[in-house]
Amino acid sequence: MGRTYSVSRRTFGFYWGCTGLVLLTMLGCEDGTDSVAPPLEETTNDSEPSLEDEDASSQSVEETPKNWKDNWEPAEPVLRRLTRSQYGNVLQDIFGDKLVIPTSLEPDSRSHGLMAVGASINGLSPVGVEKYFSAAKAVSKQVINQAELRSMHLECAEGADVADAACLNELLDTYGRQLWRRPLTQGEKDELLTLAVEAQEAMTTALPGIETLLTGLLLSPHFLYIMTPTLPGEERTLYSGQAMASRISFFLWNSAPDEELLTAAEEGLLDSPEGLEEQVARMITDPRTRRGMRAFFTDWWELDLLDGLLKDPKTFPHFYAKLGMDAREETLRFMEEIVFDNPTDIRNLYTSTTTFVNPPLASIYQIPSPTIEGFGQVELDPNAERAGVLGQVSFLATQAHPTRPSPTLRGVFVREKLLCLSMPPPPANVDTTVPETSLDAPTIKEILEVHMKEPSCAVCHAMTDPIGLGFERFDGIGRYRLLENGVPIDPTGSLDKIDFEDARGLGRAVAEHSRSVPCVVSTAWIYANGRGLSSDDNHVLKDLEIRFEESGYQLLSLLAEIAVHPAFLETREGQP
Amino acid sequence: MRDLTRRTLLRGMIGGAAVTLALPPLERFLNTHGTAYADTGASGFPLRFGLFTWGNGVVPERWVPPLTGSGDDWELSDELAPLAPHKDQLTVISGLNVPFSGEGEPHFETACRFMVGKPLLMNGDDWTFSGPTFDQVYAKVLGEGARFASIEFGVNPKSHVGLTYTGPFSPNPAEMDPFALFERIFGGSFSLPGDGPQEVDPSLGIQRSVLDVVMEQITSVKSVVSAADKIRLDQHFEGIRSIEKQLAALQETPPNLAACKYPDTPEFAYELEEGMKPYKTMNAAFANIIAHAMVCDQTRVFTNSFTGAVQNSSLFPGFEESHHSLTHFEPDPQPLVHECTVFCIVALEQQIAALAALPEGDGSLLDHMVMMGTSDCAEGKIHSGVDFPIVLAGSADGRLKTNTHWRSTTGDLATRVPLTVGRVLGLDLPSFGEEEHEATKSIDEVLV
Repeated sequence: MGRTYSVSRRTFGFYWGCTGLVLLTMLGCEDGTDSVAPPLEETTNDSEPSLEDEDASSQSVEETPKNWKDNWEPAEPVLRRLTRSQYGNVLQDIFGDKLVIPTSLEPDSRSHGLMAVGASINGLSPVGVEKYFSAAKAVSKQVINQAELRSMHLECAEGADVADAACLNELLDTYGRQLWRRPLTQGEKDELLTLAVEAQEAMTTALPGIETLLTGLLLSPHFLYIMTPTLPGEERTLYSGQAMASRISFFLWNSAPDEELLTAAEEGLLDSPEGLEEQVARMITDPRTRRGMRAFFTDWWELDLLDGLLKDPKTFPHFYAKLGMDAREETLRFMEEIVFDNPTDIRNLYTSTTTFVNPPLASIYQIPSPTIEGFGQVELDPNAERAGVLGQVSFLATQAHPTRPSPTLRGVFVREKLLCLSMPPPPANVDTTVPETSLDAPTIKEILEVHMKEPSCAVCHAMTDPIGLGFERFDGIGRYRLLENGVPIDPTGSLDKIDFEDARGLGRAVAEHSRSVPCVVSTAWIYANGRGLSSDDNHVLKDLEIRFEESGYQLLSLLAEIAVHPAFLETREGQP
Repeated sequence: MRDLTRRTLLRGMIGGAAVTLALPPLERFLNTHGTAYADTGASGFPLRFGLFTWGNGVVPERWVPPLTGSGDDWELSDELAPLAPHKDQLTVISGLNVPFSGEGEPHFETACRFMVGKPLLMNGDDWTFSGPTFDQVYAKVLGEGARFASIEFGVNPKSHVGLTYTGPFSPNPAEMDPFALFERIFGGSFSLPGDGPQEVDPSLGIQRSVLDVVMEQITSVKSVVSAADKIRLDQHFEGIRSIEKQLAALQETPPNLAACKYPDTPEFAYELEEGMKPYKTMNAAFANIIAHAMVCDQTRVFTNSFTGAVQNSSLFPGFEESHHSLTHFEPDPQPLVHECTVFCIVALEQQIAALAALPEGDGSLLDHMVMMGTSDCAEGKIHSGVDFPIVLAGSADGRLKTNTHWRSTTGDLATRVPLTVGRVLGLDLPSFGEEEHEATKSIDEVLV
């Protein structure tokens, strides 16, 4: 891998060359390599671990083609439905904080490891449609009935019981365009206006026309699905400016384009590289990108599992009802520190000893709380075993059972989520119970060793348990312990032939693993596109990896590279 | 004028075939006993179906009743013992298999083969059920007459990957909040029969017009998307159509259903017990709400997904390991796994009791339906499909032979059960399942 990185990016110049450096300069980074925090050691382990060789999904490192474009065909376009968080963000961005966002919506589920992909694959149940209907009505009612929202958004109807045609038209031009992320056609407007007039004639409530108009806009497939129309082209099919506006805003902000981006799209500014770069650079420095990255990491690291975190309170006296929420907040603040506030090598996510705790978390970590209430930044003891996201409650408690940790789940998380190595499903019709004698074994390590002796189990457990056992000094909610059942825990192990002494060493091994950086890149690419990888994507990923390296592995730089990458602009025929 | 538009639009594409839908469902109210319809039993009440599922299977040696036969010839097994109050109403079917070679995702592979009659559909590392599950096949027919085609709920289902699917990538998520379920069915514009002639909510007509416009938009978007996305938009369209149907039902005068009344209002929120959900309290609330929804003819098909498969993250009260972990770690004969299974069957008893408690005609609601209890696999320890656990309650107007345990001695296909139950409920089913799962013969031994 090291060799590949050493090839100059200029060899790969395509369409508009040095985008990465331009953007980095805009972000205040003068140089792609020198201004970043001391980079982690490059891994010197050039040989691919043997376990990977059997792995169907691991992309074998081929000779990088001269130009990523040589063998590349764009994937089929997808139709993404808004995720629950996108639904909420869009409404909040348009109607402001005073709006109570409906939260009872069809649950999101993951495909290819991400809800962002599930959104383009999963169907919608009848209950889910009902929930959209209730949500649309609830939002419309609030805008009509809440004095503050009404005066802010319905100025043209102030004081009236029914709205005049000019007012209805104005609302369609403003809110219709924002919600559908494009101006409405005259035909679409007429249809909604007819509905509004029908409602005003039939009903006696205040402003029934506007209420109906808003409900119609919010229940429309043009709002609920991210439409990405294309431009006719002779050789290539490109997304239209309007489509690009949605693609980059849902990627970076997890929400719809704002006024400036919509206008830029309508004026054709996104059709030129410079125009697109300018908008991307603006958007990346906008606080909404923080929110977007919170969504990205929540999706990638499954932080949504913390919502219903339940632990046996008898086993874990430190468990409390809000622990899941607090743990997620810790991890997201930690991510913001490394991505935004003190931008450094993304691999510091696995090694950094900085974190953010409130008093109950501090008590789980057995450190003094930096605050009396709320979160504060702390430096963990650099010699202690707790470091990086893998030392945080969010990971340690979710990849565990109600009464004990799970080395297997923790190992699966590291392999699948952080290294993007897929695991075969557990075998069926195989007796998975362990012999009774082993239950007398003092620690889980001895119990799991039974799996290693059974060939059908060992295939997978050999991939996960030696990793997961490295975290055994953290219990089922992430509290440090030295003993299990009175016996010292041995946290040494190895990750694909990289030996580690304890959890901190394991975090470092993850950071230095040859799949670590490619996994960040491919996960971000999948997330941005809302679809699984195509085989041709490999070429793009290689190109992005090179650019990422030049930035010193700063995530914001990678986001910018993806958002303006020629491959991100191109698609195949078809889409409204 | 508006109605005309609506009717011309109400053509959905289901599974690729054009289906024209009858509207409005006025005929539903022509005869309060409904004897004129194919989907009603001899009693004149509509036939209904209820499914109760729990995760991780059973301990087969303690599930299968030791003796077969009817009446006093057989007795309940250890794991079925909680159903004793309803023994007269039970039909236990054992000895049936779900053929499964061991490939695929273990917990859901057996479930999909039993409930859809085909293997899981694999999509890279992801999987989905390969078609509609039998509850949805029944709902397609039975549900046409009711406000909701089917209703899904459960205390602790596996989020969004339960056991009921409308089609590939389209699970029916279970409502996990009893209060929200209550509101969905009995809130809003619902009114009890006999509340007298009420003014119809004028907004209902407007809401239906909004739905008309949305359906037109979906149809136009559909013309420019990929084949897979067309199917998704068809489902979306069907969902809108089903709301439309619900609103239409609310605009009609309710039928005269003597037993229909409001259930007790559930708690707004449930406190945790020993750090975990109060399974029994919540399940009782759900069971009561759905029973009332059935006698009010708001729905005719439901699924109670009490617990999901796997779910290492939740404990039953009094246990130190999750049900799933125990199936894989507890040494034989797995006494704690047995206790977990019993815990689930106690919840099934709650559901059956709620249905049996509501009088309808000369008997109870349970007499006019089939309730099925089953799991995602037979034996959790090995995710097997051998000797699949199936218990039925209710005779569907005397069509099913109750107080019976029938056991296949030839290890026949488990898919014969969905076929038999579908036919008992009045569906014209030539077969159920495909290839090695295809069942064509009812189990006549459990029919009257």
